Amino acid sequence: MTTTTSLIKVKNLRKQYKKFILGPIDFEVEMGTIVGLVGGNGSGKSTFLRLLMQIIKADEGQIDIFNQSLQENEVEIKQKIGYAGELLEPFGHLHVSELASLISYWYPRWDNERYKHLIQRYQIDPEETFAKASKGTKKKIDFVFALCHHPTLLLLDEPTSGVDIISQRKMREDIMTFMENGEKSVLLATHVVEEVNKLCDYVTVLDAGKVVESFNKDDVYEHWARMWVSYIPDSVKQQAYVVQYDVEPCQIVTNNMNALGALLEQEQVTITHTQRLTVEEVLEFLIEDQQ
Amino acid sequence: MVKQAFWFAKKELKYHVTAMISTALFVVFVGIIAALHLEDAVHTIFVSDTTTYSRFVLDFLFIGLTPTFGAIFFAKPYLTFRTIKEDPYGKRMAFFRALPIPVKTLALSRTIIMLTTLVTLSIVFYTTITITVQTSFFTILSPEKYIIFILIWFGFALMLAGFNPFVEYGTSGKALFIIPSIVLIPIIITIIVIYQIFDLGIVETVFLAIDKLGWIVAVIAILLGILGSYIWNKLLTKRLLKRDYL
Repeated sequence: MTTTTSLIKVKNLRKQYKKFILGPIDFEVEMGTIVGLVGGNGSGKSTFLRLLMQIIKADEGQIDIFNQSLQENEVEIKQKIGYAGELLEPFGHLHVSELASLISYWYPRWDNERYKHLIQRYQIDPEETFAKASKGTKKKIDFVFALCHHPTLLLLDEPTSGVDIISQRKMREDIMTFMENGEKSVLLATHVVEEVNKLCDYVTVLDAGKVVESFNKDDVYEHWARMWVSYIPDSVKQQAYVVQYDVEPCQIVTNNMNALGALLEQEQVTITHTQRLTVEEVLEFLIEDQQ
Repeated sequence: MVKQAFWFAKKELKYHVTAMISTALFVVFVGIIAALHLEDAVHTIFVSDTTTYSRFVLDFLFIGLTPTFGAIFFAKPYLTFRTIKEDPYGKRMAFFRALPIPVKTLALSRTIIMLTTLVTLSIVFYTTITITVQTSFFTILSPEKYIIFILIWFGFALMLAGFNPFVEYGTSGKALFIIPSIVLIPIIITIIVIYQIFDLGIVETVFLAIDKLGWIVAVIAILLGILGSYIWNKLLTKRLLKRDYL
């Protein structure tokens, strides 16, 4: 990734709480890509997004968005970000249309026609008070507001959680449409493997506040595999690319199939069977391994 | 920035009309109590020195209560203990911070809301007192001195009222409940110490100062009030830049 095409560039970002430390995190989102932020509950996904929006102040580190320092160009940068992070709850007494009026004022590029279109598309009643909306509808409202000012970058915190399947499909379609010109990016915190499979180009796995793995989704099929072998020599067990091994039956999970294959051949170990891993299996390994 | 802050403040005040009316009704009640005590105080100081009222209540109303006119204290977060856990003001600010709003505009809008609330509730308070006191009150205290009296206490409230948005948006839900209680302790101690040393109430002292010095006291109070508001606004801006909202 080069600096000029990075929409988000995070260096050494750190936030400490009493019982939890996020970071230090180095992280990038390249222009024209969707990055999935995956991790167990409490792994730090929402905290990371909140740090990017300055809702939480980092103890250390540098955040650059659109090649500008977030600290120094906060307003200009936020005008180009669509953030859906479930922050509307304290305004539950307001109608959706009142919320739109409160939000739209701050975005020079707010598109009222787009707002009306999306409200209709997601079957949201603009005269319903936010508090009375269902969990899924609240998520949809959040998502719609994030899109109405034609942002360049979307930060979505579990956007489809609790949303009906038709709307989930529509959301995925809208994210794909958003990405069409190749100059925009999405950072998507999610638990839904289908979203990772259908939308994401890159996946970053967070665990206990640390980035444990970042990979290109397309590389999963090429590099990750489970191999059943005749036996497992100690030299193999110690390799960094051996994610997991089991002796009964003898099997190895690797994130570098070629390197492991070469080593096994060198050690004269017979590979009885090889199975490529799916993204879902890889994510399970990464998250479970940390836990 | 100023135009945006005014737009924002107006928009938010619209959402709090009911709470504002409830707060104003409470202030009418407080105004009636204050009026009854003021009548007696004026009589004691300028006519006969027989104290027939509670100095403490009168001082407490003006010192402890008038600065709180900068807050809509009948708004939901003030009336429920859930605020301690949920920090609704902090959550509101979290949403605002996610929008492309300069922190200075956010802080200024809070100051404008505070000033609007303070002016509105002060008008309600002093109008109630003016209507409640008997005509004889103005034969003892001239309308001019009464206006000076109002301006002094308005200036005092103005000086401290910036504390309200600072606590609401700059601290936590827990602090919103705890800090005002802590602040009350030194106020009560000060009032009691002054009684012991000077055998005079603070409101009584203000009346004597008005009699001796006139308008200058009101001018100083208003200037201190403006300075206080300015300082609180700067403190709030600084705090909003630093704090975590969630």
